[in-house]
Amino acid sequence: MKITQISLFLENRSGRIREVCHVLGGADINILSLTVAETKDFGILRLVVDKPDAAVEVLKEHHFAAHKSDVVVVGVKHAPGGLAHVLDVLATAQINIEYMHALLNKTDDFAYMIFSFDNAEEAVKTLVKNKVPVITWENIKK
Amino acid sequence: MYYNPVAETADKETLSKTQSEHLKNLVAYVYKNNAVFKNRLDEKNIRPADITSIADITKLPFTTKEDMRDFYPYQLFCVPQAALAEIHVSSGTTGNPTLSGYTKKDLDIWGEAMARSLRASGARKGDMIQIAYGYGLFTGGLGAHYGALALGLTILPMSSGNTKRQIKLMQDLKPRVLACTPSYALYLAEEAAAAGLKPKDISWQIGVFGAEPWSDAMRSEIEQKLGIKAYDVFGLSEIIGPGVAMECECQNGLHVWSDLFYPEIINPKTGEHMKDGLDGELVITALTKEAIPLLRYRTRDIASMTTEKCPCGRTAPRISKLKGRTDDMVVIRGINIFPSQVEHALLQIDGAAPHYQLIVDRHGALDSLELEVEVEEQFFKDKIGELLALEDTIKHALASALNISARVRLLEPGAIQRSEGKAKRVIDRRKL
Repeated sequence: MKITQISLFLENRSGRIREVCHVLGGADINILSLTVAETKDFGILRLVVDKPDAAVEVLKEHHFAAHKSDVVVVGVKHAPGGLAHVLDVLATAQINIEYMHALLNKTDDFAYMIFSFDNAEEAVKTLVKNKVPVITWENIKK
Repeated sequence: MYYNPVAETADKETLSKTQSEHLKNLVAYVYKNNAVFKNRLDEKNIRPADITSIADITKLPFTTKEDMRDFYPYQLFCVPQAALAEIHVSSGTTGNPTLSGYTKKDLDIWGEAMARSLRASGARKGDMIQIAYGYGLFTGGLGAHYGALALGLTILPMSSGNTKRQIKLMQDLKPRVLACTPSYALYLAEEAAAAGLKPKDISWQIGVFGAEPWSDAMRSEIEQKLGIKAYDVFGLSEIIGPGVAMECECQNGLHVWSDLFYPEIINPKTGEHMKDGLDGELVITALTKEAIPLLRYRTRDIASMTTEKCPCGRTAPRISKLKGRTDDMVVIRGINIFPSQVEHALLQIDGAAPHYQLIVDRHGALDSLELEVEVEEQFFKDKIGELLALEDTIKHALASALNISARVRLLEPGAIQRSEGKAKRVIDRRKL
């Protein structure tokens, strides 16, 4: 149920994300989601790609500090209150969220949200128990 | 307790008198017996009679590593080759190697210095010492040997290598003292463990380790794995070899046998003396040697010194563990900063020195210091908060190591230019 995310340390100067995209594109790797967390001097670029191992390799070859981590992709009902419900479920079980961001809409009914949890095992258990869809890698890759 | 109680516990006045006598004789001696030193003194208009006390040492010119190379092999010697009892050669990484030569009297001085050092570690007449420093051109083995002879230890001259044999003989003959490099000590520990030995099965109780820099973490590791008390010995072949300075049982600095090897801590840029406790370049004068006594030899090692009383009773001044090399020093807001101090501080954070650069600049009247550090594999964290905390940790490590506040900037791997030879650690943008 855990999905591989790649994080990259980037200095806050122009052209960095562009270069990452060129490197991945050149290696025939498709980006499925992207988000940036920034400070004044640097940022962390987080990506979900279709070929994570290949991506880490080609990024390292280009001297990027690439890191793999696990995230959970959750299906959030694509309607008002959809996200609030998921967050209620997690809060009740006292699951801590590190960060989250949205993936492309895959279907009309559900938006996909990427979550990074302190304790992913517990989070997945809680979500499944509460019938919140946890999306598998197969469904994301398509 | 002491090998030479009179010399080791001499009061300040007596010590100063001894040093002054020696220095007067030394300057007269080199002036008479060596053309290079004579010329240097003449150039500065210094006559041997101008040296009346140890304080006059500041009038004398320095000797450098370049001199050792330029005047290779014999031009700095005060005696002909036939008068030499022994020669040692240390590897030169660039150009000529360094030659150290000894008359019979010099070998006695070496024995004296090393005997004091061994006794300071707690080794006693009648103990057996396993000397696993290399015997040969390297000064380690023979230096320990002469000291052990003078002190009356039973010598097991293993030299380095043959590790299985070292362990077997240790088990059979049960030597109390081990003398070798700290890294070899760890190697021996591995071998002992592989042979199924526990620390209690290891007969060594005292270790006299040196010839390379080693951290407190390494000391703890050695002591734990071998069940031994590990002492730091310092020396350099240009002065004599091991035995120039040694830790006593207090292990709070290394006593320099200043009646034989006079230490000074100088500002490497100005040549002025640094106050007690402040870092600077270690300079040593071999006061009593015959073959190749050097005047104010600049070691290029950074250390601090204290003349404060030591509980062990020895009045020889103490130097700190060496803190790095003097290359690349910069002065920022009046403080001497050595890049190796930065490296040392960074090493404490994760155990692997990252690529870094110090950028010195001036905005208005104040100097600024920025440390750029590449974020390598082991440093990268996937959380902004943790990366900011890393910046903070580095900032604090720097502040406590250098006494100066620096901005820290994290860079991508490979951002800092690599160089073929030594890395350019300091970029000084000030137009001074």
